[in-house]
Amino acid sequence: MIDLESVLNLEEQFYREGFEEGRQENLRHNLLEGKQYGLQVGFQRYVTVGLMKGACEVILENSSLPQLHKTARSIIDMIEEIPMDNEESNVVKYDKNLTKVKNKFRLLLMAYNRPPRDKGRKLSFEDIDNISKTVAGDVQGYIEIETNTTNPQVDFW
Amino acid sequence: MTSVNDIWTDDFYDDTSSHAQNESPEVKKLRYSHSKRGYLDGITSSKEENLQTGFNASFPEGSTLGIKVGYIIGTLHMLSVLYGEDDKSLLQKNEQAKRELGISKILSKSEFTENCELIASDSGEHRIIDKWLHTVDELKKRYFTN
Repeated sequence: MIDLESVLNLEEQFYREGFEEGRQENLRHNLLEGKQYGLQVGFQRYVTVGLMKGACEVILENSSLPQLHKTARSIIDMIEEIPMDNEESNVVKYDKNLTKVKNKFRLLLMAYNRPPRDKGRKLSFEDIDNISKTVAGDVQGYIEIETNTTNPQVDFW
Repeated sequence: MTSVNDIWTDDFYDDTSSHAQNESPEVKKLRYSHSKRGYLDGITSSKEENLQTGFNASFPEGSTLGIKVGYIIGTLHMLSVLYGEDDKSLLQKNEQAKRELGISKILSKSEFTENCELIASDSGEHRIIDKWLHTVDELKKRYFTN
């Protein structure tokens, strides 16, 4: 026979064991879910940056116009300065730098599209935006997580 | 995530477990009911703890993948803008890249371990991105090496 005190101790012990197991299970799950969100949001937030970088590198190689060269070089340098993590101060820097890069890229496109062009057809910022949406997907909604941004996103794989 | 039902099946504490071997049926029953209650409380106690840690840990990986994908497609798109009329294969490659480098392909479960770590190529890149970086390098050499 087990006495009452032993039973109560066992109940407490089993409850604690179960509690710790449940807690650890949930922590593992949350970590994984957080990682998935992090990959997704990181990806979505930087595709446009990469698109501008790729376009600038081609313009840099291709164009003989000094003004285009200079602007493309400057955009690439600014992109190199954009932080890649989600630290609060870096997210502020990201927003600030991205706005500057986009503005400069618009100027580059205006200069590139102005006739007489060396060759090729026109390119608009809308093209870049559309490609970005195609590749990275639209904003799907909000998640509770602190993303330090106005557009946190969900709908993971 | 393992569901509660997966955990609390009859064979969770089966007769071969270290706990169960020396326990009487009464103690087994006691363990089952109280551990289960503790487990459920444990699951809800930590709520969203760790979510932010995971998010911050993988965000730089996501942003690196995003910028590389953008770079590849931006390069191909600009090449298509410049030379696409004379080289239709550029247009095809551009479209193909947009399909193969979409978020659902790049962040596909098949490209990551169960712990969400990237399964990299020999050169340490995402396998699909690796392939396209080579393609872009070759095209740039073709068009820009005098």
